[in-house]
Amino acid sequence: MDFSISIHMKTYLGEFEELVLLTIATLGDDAYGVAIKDSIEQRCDRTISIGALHSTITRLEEKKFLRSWVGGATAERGGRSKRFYEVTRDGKAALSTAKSLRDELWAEAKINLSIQK
Amino acid sequence: MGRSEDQSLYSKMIKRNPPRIAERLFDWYCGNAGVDDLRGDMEEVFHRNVNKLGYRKAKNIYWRQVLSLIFSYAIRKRKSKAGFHQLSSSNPFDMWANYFKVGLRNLYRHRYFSILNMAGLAIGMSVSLLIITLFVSVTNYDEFHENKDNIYRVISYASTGKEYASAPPALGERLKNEYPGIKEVIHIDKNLYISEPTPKNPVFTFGFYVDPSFLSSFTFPLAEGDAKTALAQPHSIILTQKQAKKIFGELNAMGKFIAINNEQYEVTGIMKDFPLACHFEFNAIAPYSAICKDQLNAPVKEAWSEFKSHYIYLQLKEGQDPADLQAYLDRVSAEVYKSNPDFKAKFRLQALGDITPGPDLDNDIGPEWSYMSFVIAGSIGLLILLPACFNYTNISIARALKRAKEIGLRKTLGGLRQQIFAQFIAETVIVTVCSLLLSCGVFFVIRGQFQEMLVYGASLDLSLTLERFLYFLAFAIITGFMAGFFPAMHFSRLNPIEAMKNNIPSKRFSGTRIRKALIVFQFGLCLFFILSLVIFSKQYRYAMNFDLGFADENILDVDLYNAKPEVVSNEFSKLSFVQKVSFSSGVMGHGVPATWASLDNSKDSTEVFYMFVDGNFIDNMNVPLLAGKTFDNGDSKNGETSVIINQTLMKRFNFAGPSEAIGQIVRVDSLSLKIIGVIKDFHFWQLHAPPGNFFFRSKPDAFRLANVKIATTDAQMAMEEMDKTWHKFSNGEVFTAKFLSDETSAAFYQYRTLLRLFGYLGLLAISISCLGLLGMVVYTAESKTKEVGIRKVMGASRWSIAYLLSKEFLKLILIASLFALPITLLLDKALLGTEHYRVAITFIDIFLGLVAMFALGIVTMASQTWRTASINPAETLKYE
Repeated sequence: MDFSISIHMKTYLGEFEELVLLTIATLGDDAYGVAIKDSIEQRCDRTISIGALHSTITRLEEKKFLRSWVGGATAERGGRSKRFYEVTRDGKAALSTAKSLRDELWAEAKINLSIQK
Repeated sequence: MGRSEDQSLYSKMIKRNPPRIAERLFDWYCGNAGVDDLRGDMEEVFHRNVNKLGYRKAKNIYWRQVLSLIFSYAIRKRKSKAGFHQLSSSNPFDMWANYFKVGLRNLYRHRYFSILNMAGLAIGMSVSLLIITLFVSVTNYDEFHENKDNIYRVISYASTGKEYASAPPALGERLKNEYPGIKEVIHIDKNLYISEPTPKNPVFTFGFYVDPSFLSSFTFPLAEGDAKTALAQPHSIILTQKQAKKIFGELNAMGKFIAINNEQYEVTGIMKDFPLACHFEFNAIAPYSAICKDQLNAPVKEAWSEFKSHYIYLQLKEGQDPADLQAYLDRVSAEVYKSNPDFKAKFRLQALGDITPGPDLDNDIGPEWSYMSFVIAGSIGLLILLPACFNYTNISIARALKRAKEIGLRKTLGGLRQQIFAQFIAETVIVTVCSLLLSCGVFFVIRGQFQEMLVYGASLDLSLTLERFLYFLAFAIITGFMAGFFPAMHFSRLNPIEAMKNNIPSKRFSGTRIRKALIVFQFGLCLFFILSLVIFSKQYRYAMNFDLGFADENILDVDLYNAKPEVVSNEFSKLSFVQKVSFSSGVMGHGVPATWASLDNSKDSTEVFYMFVDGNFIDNMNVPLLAGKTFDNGDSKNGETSVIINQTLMKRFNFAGPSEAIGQIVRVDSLSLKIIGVIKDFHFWQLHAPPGNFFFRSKPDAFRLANVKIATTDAQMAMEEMDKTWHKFSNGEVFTAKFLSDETSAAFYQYRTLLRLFGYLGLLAISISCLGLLGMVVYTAESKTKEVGIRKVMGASRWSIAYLLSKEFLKLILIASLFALPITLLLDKALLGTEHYRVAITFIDIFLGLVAMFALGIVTMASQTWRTASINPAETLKYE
C-alpha cells in the first residue's frame, strides 16, 4: 500500500517515460529489466540501450511513479535476484493526466486525425 | 532441427560465461552500489544471445551494455545512495570551503611559523619567477612576423667544427636563381655603422644592408615612406622612429641625408619601433645593392669561405617542404667545396621560431639565447627553490603533533585518507599562493639587477603581464603540491587512536633523519656560497691589481682604417695634450697572432707570438728594454728588417744574456730579421697563461691602431679635439677610439658578473637556510619547555640551557662543513684553474668562511634559545 501523501505536482511525463510506465503496466507481475526491454523493443520495433532504460526507470522511481522490490533469483542469471517494478498511484495519476490531455486534443482537432488504412 | 538447436544444446553443455574483464570492470566501477539486478539482467541477456547469435556477438553486446550502464544516470544514482564514497557528495565544494576556513585559521593561530614558512617560500620562489619570466619572454621572440611559419635562416657548419649563424652571399644568389620553391631570398649584411657625433651626444647608428624583400617578408611596418620603393635606390636608408628622433630631433627625417663611407644616403622611410622581442638588433637599414657590387666581384674562393657578417634568410612558398630544400643545400655544399682543400662547410635550414631560444652559434646577428643557458638558469632556480620547499616540509612534519588531535577527530568522524591528504595539500597551496604575493615583491626588487647581469638583458621585456602572472600562479600551485606532498602523506597515515593519545610513532615520514639531512644540505650550500665569494673576490682584486708589464693608463687606441700613420702622427702630435703617438697592429694585451721562427743557423723552429709596432711603442707603453734599442721608424720603409724579442724567447734561443742576442739573425716567414733589442716579459695573455715566446716586428702596412698617450684629465674634451683633427685628414671615416685601460678592465667583466651572481644567490640561500634553522629551533624549544623548566628548577644556568638547545644543530652545521668543504674547494679550484695566474686558497680563507657560517648559525639560534632559557620555570611547568 502506498501510504505516502504526495503533493500532487503536475510533473510532465516524457515520451519514453510514458512508454516505460505503460509497458510496466502491461507486464503485470513479471515487470523486470529484461522483460521491459524486450517488450518495448518488440512492440515499438526499436532498440533501447540498457543504460537509457534503467536511467529512465531510476528517474521514475525518484518521482515516485514506480515502486520496486527484489525477488526471484534464477540460475540463468548466475544466481542473482531480479528487481520488479510496479506503477504507483501517483504514476497512475500522471498517466491518466497525460491520456486525458491527449484525448482532449484529439477530440478538438479541427482536422480528421484518424488515418484510413 | 538444424544449426541453432545444435548450438543451444552445445552451449548448454559447455557453460559459456560472460567476458570476465567486462564483469570486473563493472564491479569495480560500481563499488558498494547495489547493482545485483543489473548484473543479473545482463547475464540473462548474454546467455540468450549466446544461443541466438553466437558467443562472439554475445560478448560484444555484453561489453556494450556494461559501458552503457557505466555512463548511465542509473548507476550514478545507485552509487550515491551507497554513500561512503568521495564522489558521493552532491556538492564537492562543501569540504573545500571547510579546508579553506580551517587552513586560514591554523595559519593565523601559528602566525610565527606561518610567516617563517611564507618568507622562506617567497624567497625561494623569487628566482624561479624571474626565470619563468625570462623563459616566457624569450620563447616569444619573433612572434610578430606574419610569415613566421615560412621563414627560415641558412646556417653553416664548417669543417673546423664551428657553427655559424651566417652564410656565404654566393649561396643566396644560387638559391635565388636555381631553387623554385623559395618565394624570397633576403640577404642581410651586418656592416652598417655610422656615428654622427654631435658635440655632446655621439649617436651610434647601426644596422643592416638588406634586400628589399626584408620589408615584405618580415613584419616591420613603416610609419612613413613606401615599403615597396624605399629601398629601391642604392643610396637610401630607413631609420627607426627612435633613431630618427635621436639624429634629427623634432625635424622630419624624410628626405634628409646621412653620410656613410663618404657617400650620401637619403632617408626614404621611417620604420615604426618594433617589439623588443626580436632577434634582430638594428636602428637603420639600407639596401643591399649599395654594397653587393663588391661581393659579386670577389674571387670565388673567398665568396664561399668569408662570411663573417652576412646572413641569408628565406621565405618559402606555401606548402614547400623544407626537407627538400635541405637536400638541395647538401648537394650545393658538396659541389662547391669539392675543390677547396682548406675549408668546407655544410648548410642547414633553421626555422625562424628555432632561432630563439636555439643552439649556440657564432657570428650572431643579434641577441642570442641558447638552450644551455636555460638549463643552467633552471637549475639555479631549482637550487634556490628546493631548500625552501624542504623547509616547509620539515617544519610541517615536525609539528605534526599539534595537528594530531584534529586529524584523529576527522578520521573518526569518517574522513578518508584521501580527504586528509587533500586538506593538507590545500593548506600548503594557500601558503604558497600567499607567498607568491610576497615573492612578486622580491621579484620587482631583483629584476633590475638580474637584467643587468645578463649579456643581452637590455633586449628583454621582463614586465609583469596578466599572462605571466597566471604562469606564476600555476607555478605557485605546483610548488604547493611539491612542498605539501610529504607532510600530507604523513598526516593522512596517522592512526587516529594513537593520534588522539598524542602518541605518534616514529615512522619514515616523521623522519628526524630527513630533517637533519636537510639542514646539513642547506648549510653546506651556504658554506659553498660564502667560501666561493671569499675566494673569488680575492681573485678579482688580484686580477685588477695585477701588473701586466706595461702601462695602460692614458693611452687612447684610435682605429687607423685607411689613414697614413705619418699623417696621423703629425696631426695628433700638434694637439697640446698629446704626449706621444705610437702604432700597433692590435690592442696591447689582448691576444696576439703567432708564427714560426728559428735562429739563422739552426733548423729548430719555435712558435712565437708577435705584434707589429713602431719605434715609439715600447717607450709609450713603458715596456722595459733590457738591451739594445727600439725600432727606427725609417728602417721599415722598405719592408721588415728587425725584431725585438722578449726574455722568454731569448732563453728559448739559448742566449746567455740579453746583450748576446743583439745582432743575431732570426728567420721568420721567409724573412731574415736582425735582433736589435730585448724587452722584459709582459703579459700579452692577461692572466690566462705565463708569457710565451714573443717578439715585436715593425711594418707600417700592418699598423691598425694609433696609441695616443694623452696628458689631460678631461677625456671628453680630448676626444672631441681629436675627432675634429681626425676629420681633417680622414676620408669621412669614423673616429673610433677606446681607452686601453677600459679595454683591459672590460676583460674582467666576467669576474664582476660571477661575483654579483654568487653574491645574490648566496644571500638567498643563506636567508632560506637561516629561516629553516630558525623554524627547527623554535620547534625544539617549544617541545622541550617542560624539560627546560625542570632543569632550571634544578639549578641549570642560562648558558647551559642555551647550549642544550643548540647542541644538536651545531653538530649538524659541523657535519655540513665537513661535507661542503672538499666539494667547494674542488669546484673553486676548477673555476680558478682557467687562469694561470691565480690566488692560492689559503687556510685563512677557509677559516673565514667557516667562521662566517657558524656565526650565522649561532646568531639565528641565539634569539630563540636565549629567550627560552630565560623563561620563568613557574610558567612553563604549568603548560600542559
